[in-house]
Amino acid sequence: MPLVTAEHIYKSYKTSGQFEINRLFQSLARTLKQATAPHTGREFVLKDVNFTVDSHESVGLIGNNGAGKTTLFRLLSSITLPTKGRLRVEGRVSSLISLGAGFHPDLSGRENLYLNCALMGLSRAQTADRIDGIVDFAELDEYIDMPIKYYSSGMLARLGFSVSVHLDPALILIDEVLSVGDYQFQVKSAAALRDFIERGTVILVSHDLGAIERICKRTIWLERGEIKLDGPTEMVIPRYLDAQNQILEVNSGINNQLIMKDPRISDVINVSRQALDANIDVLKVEVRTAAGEVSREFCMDDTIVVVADLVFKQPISDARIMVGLIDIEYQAVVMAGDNQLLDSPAAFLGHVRVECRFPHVMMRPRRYGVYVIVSNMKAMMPLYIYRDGDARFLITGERHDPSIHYYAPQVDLVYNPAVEMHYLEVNTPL
Amino acid sequence: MTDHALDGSNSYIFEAADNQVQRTPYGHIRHALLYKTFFWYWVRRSLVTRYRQTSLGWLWALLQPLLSSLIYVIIFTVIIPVPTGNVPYPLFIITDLVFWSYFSRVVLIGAGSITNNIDLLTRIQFPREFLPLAVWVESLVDLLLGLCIVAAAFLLYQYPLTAFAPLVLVAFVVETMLALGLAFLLASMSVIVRDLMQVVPLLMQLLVYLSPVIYPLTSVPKGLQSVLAFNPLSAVFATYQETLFYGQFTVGGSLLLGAVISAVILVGGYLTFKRVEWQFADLR
Repeated sequence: MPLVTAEHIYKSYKTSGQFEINRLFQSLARTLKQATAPHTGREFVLKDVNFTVDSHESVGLIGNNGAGKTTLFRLLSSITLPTKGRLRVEGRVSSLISLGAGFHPDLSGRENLYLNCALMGLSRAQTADRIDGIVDFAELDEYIDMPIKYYSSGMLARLGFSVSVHLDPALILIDEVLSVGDYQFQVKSAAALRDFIERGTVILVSHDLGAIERICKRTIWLERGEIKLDGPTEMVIPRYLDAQNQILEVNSGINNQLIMKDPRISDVINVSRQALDANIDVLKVEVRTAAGEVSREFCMDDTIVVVADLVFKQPISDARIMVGLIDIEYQAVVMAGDNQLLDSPAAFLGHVRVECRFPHVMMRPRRYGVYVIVSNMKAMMPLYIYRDGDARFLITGERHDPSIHYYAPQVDLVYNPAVEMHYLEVNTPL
Repeated sequence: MTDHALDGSNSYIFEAADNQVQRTPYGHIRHALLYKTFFWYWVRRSLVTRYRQTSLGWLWALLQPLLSSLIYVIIFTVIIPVPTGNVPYPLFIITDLVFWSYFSRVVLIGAGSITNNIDLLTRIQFPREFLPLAVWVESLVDLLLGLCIVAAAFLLYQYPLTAFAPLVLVAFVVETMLALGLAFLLASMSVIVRDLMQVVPLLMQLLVYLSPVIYPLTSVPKGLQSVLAFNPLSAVFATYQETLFYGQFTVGGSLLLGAVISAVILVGGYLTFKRVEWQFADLR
């Protein structure tokens, strides 16, 4: 008997089920407006989904936003029922969407752990068996008996995450919420998850196809609520990418018009500069290896060093210099460092050279850009924005140290405390 | 083999088809038992956190009924005197208020227990009826503390109890059925009609005056008494008053009617709750 059996599953949410007078009026107005519009009826979030998952299988789930991945997870964790069709799940399911559910700010970390474990269906004895492991893993030490309202968000996330890796469920559902805590904790949690993945059954939702390729032998591609393709990962992902690239090609034409070409820097094709303060200029930005060589290709666990040369023609006080890496595909900042923790002069004048080290980046294998922003720390006003419009470097899938397992940071600003910035030159006369 | 096979939870199966969960009555019980630890922790969580922030802590559980009784004592002995026969009004009101606040707490907080924990419901599955039931257990703890005050008041006034006093238990069972039934009913409905959460506190305020809580049933004109008899709560409080203070039990008929009505509301409320419980996470 497979662990999960889904037969002809349909799911729709009744949006009109909630009685609201406002909505009644709204829909009345809409009906009057679109009296001629055809009635579409119920909209299905999932349509005729069929699949089975066997024990010890790891399955990737890919698809664009709104494809129905979250709804499928909610069905599998039996939070919601299929509108039509049959679903059978054997054994306890743990889902990373349940991280920290039921936590109460006035209870201590330990009390919340007991509650959270009970919420996952563990008995008192089962919780007692695991509690020391969880507390150790979360690295909260003496904070564990303090009310969690005094915890930082990182500590809270560590607490929640530690529970989920110690539950030993029959099936674990992972939805990309994997970059928790500092770098060292991320490596540890990734290792714990990998350990779990090897022992148990996993369904992984991720936009990071590299992670899916490494973890999942099989991949299901959902599109608009339907299974587009279900098969070996090496077959599904290329087909999915082909479909995505077709969409990208259509969209990319618009972006290119916005980016001004700059002939001064030869190794970069597209650079955009916005000089809001004419007295500042970013002369050169280089991406280097840890050894100091300029490079455009890195391994996943490489250290990346960005060196930026800036010029201040007039004294600029309270200047914040920020150096960051951008995910070209998602147009999102992945990691950034700034000079706020450095011993900086009261004002910048002349030549300033900064070095920003991103140790063991562990970023998804794809193309990245670099940006440098000078802003006024007090007014929070940008003064100068330097940004690569195109790929500056590439992260390849390989890694030097295979013992370090890689997990994707979420696609938003991940403040990584390991990022270090140094001044190489401060206020050298021009 | 990992230890999830050892702890027996692997034998737990979730099966659903066509908007229905496929579980035998035995399966329902097994599923509920899997979460019994959670139930007790949840009750504990609410009890522990309620007064943790306050400097007086658990003293508030005793102070609250005392202080609210004081308000009524001032109003109904000094400003508008209420005839309670030879029963001292403070003793009368504190007894009634302890039983009333048990009722209103189960209904009000029980009704809100689903909407207030909707985040939990959309992230984790567990037997949904545990939330209103946990409110009930918490309220029982409050009731026990309140009854200590009542006992102290009886000792203070040296008011003798009669052989009718054990009938209090019958009234208590009826009151509990009604309160739980209403909590289940309102909790299910308030998810669909959010406005209910605004209306219910007002209705409870009305109910406290429509039931003989702050005044004895005997002070109501005879014609109105028969109307009040259809309110199960009125029979419940009349029973409390007669058996504890007046050493008689004449409202047996209306208490029986109240018991039937309450039982119907409890069964109806629970069935409604089970019918819509899967919509809670979908509607939010």
